[in-house]
Amino acid sequence: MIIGMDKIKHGNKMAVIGHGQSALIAAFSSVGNDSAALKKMDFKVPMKQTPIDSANASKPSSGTAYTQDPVYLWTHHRFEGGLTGGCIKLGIHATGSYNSGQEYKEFLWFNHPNGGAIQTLSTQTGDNSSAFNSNSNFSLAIQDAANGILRVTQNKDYRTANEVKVYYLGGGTDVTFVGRNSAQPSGLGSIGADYDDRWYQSFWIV
Amino acid sequence: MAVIGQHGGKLLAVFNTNTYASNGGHNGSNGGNMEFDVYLPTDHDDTRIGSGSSSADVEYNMDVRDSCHYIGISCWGTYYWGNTWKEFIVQRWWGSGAQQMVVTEIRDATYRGHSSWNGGGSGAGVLPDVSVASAANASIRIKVGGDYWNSNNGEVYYLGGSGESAWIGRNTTAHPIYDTTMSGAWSE
Repeated sequence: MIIGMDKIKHGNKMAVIGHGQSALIAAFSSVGNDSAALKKMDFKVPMKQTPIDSANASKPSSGTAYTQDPVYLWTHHRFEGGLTGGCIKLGIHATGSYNSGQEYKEFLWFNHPNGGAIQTLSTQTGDNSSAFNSNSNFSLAIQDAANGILRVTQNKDYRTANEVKVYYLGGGTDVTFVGRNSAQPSGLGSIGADYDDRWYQSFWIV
Repeated sequence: MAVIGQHGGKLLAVFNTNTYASNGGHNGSNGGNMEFDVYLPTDHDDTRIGSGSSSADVEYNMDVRDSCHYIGISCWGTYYWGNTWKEFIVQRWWGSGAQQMVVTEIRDATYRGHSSWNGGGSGAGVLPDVSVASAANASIRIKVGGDYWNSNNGEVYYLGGSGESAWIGRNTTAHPIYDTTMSGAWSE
């Protein structure tokens, strides 16, 4: 097999995967939680967050069937009136250091002008003590749909020993358009500016 | 080929059936679904570092025509409203003198705000669906729908796989030196 990391050389300093940063959206630790209340965290997803993207500035406003342009449609989906919708996929890792254990869940937020919903795609539980896993308070909920704010609750361990990390896994966020030439590095919130006609989509009736 | 996906999502396509209709396309008279083709980002040869100069290299004689692509599709309707997310694996390889390709759905989730979204019932619904458009040209055919003919919206994301990507831990002229290394040698 191929060795992927040189730990002798670099210790535990993992490489930054994917052009500059990993896709960690939010994290919390409940150390210092002095109440018995559930530890919760609200966080914004990178979706619906104008003006961190440059799509609005670069979307076409004229030309043949320009309203079918992917950039035009995408901004339409995110920011314009009653059509706002989409889906973002998150991976959330819940860990505890007292009754030690961990659980990983993949969630979808279905954004929709009529309300939307959270769905759980999968759950993996590992290395848990029975005390860690006896509490099922690990969930994701919509806190403020209009502003893209979700709420994660994690209380599977002792109240001062819970931690959570939220990772972006895919779906409706600020985008790079595959098939577009990106002359400049594209961070979260920017897009490649130019078309590459080889990859442009077309539609027809079934 | 563009360098795909930096930190944000990686869009392959975006669709809106009402927009398509208003541009002289779909009018609902021929059913409510739409299809379109999307090319997969397969020419990762642009950025790979080479196939190995000697037979001792692990990449020696590696067939770059073989690839695997992880696709996510988000659909939502605004009349019989609801959302569906599906994930697909597209495998492409060279065999019998031609490119071969197969599509497999691996995950789905659906929320029906209206009981009729995406066929109704309790399952995920049949749409969106992905099939092979052209194995030779590395294109997939995506069928979308689930709502009234002019009320479907959606996005197609590249979630991962062989698409032109930096080789983590390897130095190339196109990508920076990462803080890891990947050995070119076999180990036991």
